[in-house]
Amino acid sequence: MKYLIIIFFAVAAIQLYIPVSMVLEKQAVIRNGKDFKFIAEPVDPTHPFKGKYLTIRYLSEHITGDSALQVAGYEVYVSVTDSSGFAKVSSVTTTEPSVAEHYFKARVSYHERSNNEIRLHVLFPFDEYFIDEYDAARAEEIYNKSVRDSSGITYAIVTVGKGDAVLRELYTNDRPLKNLLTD
Amino acid sequence: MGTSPKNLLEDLNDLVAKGVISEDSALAIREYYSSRSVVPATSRFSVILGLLGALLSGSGIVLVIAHNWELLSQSIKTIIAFLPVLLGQGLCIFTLLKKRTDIVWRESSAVILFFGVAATISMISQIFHISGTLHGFLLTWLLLTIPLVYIFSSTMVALLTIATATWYVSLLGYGFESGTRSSFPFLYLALIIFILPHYHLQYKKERLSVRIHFLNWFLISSVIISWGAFANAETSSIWIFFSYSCLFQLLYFAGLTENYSQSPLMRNPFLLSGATGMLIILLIWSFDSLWQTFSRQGNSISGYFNSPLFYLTVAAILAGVLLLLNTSSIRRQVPNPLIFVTTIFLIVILLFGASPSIAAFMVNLLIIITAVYFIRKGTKINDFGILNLGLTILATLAVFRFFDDSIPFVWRGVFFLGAGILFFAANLALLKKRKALTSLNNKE
Repeated sequence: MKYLIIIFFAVAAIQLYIPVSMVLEKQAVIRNGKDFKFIAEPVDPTHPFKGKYLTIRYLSEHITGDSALQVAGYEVYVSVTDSSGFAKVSSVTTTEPSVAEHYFKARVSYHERSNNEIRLHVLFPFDEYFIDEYDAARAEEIYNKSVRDSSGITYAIVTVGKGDAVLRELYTNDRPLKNLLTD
Repeated sequence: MGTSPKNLLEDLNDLVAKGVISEDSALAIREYYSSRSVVPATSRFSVILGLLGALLSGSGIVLVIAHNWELLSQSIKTIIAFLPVLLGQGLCIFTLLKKRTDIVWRESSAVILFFGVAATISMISQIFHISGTLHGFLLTWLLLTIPLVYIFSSTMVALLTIATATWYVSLLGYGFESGTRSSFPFLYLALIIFILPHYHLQYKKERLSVRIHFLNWFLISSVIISWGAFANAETSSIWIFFSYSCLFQLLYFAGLTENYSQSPLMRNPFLLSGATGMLIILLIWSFDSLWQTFSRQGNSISGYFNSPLFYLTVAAILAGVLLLLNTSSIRRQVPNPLIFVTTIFLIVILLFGASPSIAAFMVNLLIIITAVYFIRKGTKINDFGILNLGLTILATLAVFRFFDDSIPFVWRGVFFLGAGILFFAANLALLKKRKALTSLNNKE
């Protein structure tokens, strides 16, 4: 009986450790990382929404890479710098960068060759923006309209640390999506 | 199983009158049950009302929080996100300390914690917009909650674990999530093996219990669904069917063991699933067109040898052979064609795979022999169920041949007519036989 309680407490500690560590990791990135603006691009209008989250695709997910990275499913490190207020991919490597200050892990989705150049499509780990199910349809409509509107700009604020990134908010023409939903 | 105290007390006078127990024993039994604390019906009703009230209040709180969710700060949301798992853990600790022997408390608290863990991880992912795969989430959930099966001896959690593990293997092994298979779901095997000692403990306690019944159905269904997930892309479909036939053969053998052979069919999931599975495979491969396709593709077995499914099949065959050699109740079934399905199917593939018409004919012949066997057996032992099983197999074959364009209309018609007449004749004959037996018994 005593051993059962000890075992249960051990299991309970592990059950709490997992979500707590998730929170602490993300909080550490938010505290120590830097905010970058990643410009969003239009996605397939028939499937921009999975469940209760918005799938966001970014312009900077299309990267010119080298042949060593053209393996689908390959894990890579994407380093970013600030370029006129927006994020710019400075390098994509297979090993953890030693010099770069802000980088995160991503996965190669597919590659294409064009004029002897290899274009990689990389999936960023902050491509899911969770939203209230009652606002989902309207959010989808606003998001789709905004990314197709060339007069405006839609971007996500992402805090990038060393090895991880946290999606903070989605903006359309400098207004948070959440505020647009209440208009 | 077990007589309720109320029924026993009502029968006491009868037992004394028939001399089964003495007056003194009856008195002792009455005194024993009256001294036990029985929760009065009104008190139980209050508990139920209280629980309903708690459930409704709790749901109300959740709805109010959900409505104002967007207005809450990230910190408050994070704290609220931990409530499900903390509530579950609190209930579990209380159960361990105060209600250890109460099965309702053990099962309920374990199940609440099982779902509480999932709710907390989901909410944290939502709050911080953490993306990830569904199969990854399911695996984390399972690994964090599977110990509850043993800590609380909870069959409900075991069943939920089996169901969730099956979901996991479907996403990962069949590529339902990504569109292509990610990798072989070997962890699924580890999860199922981890549950087996619980199954064994429950089986030892009471092998005909409802718990074992549910565990049997869940485990069998899970294994059947997951079996094909271990085939690689190079394995041709016929070898996947062969592997399934080995699995169904093993299940059928398990259903014929002494532990289960006396049980009614619905309480013998091994026999039911094994027989049904083998018959379905035979019926599918009774089509000439399928054998034509197979012979055109060629009998490529090298892909099969490289897949984990091959090794699982070998394990199933070895287990089947061991069961066959060590279980006399299976060997007593020997004229039963279903005992030999896998062997015959393999012979047909290897020897007649290049001759589609002969292969299809052999399979059709095997189905007819199986049907005739059950019709004959049903007639002999006076069992309508077995008789009609045989007739149903024949009728299903007839329907399948109806859609088989390679057979001329006239032969299809003859086969249909024959099957229909056989249906009526066999049932009529058995009915007459039963009436004759009944009138003979009445005369005696």
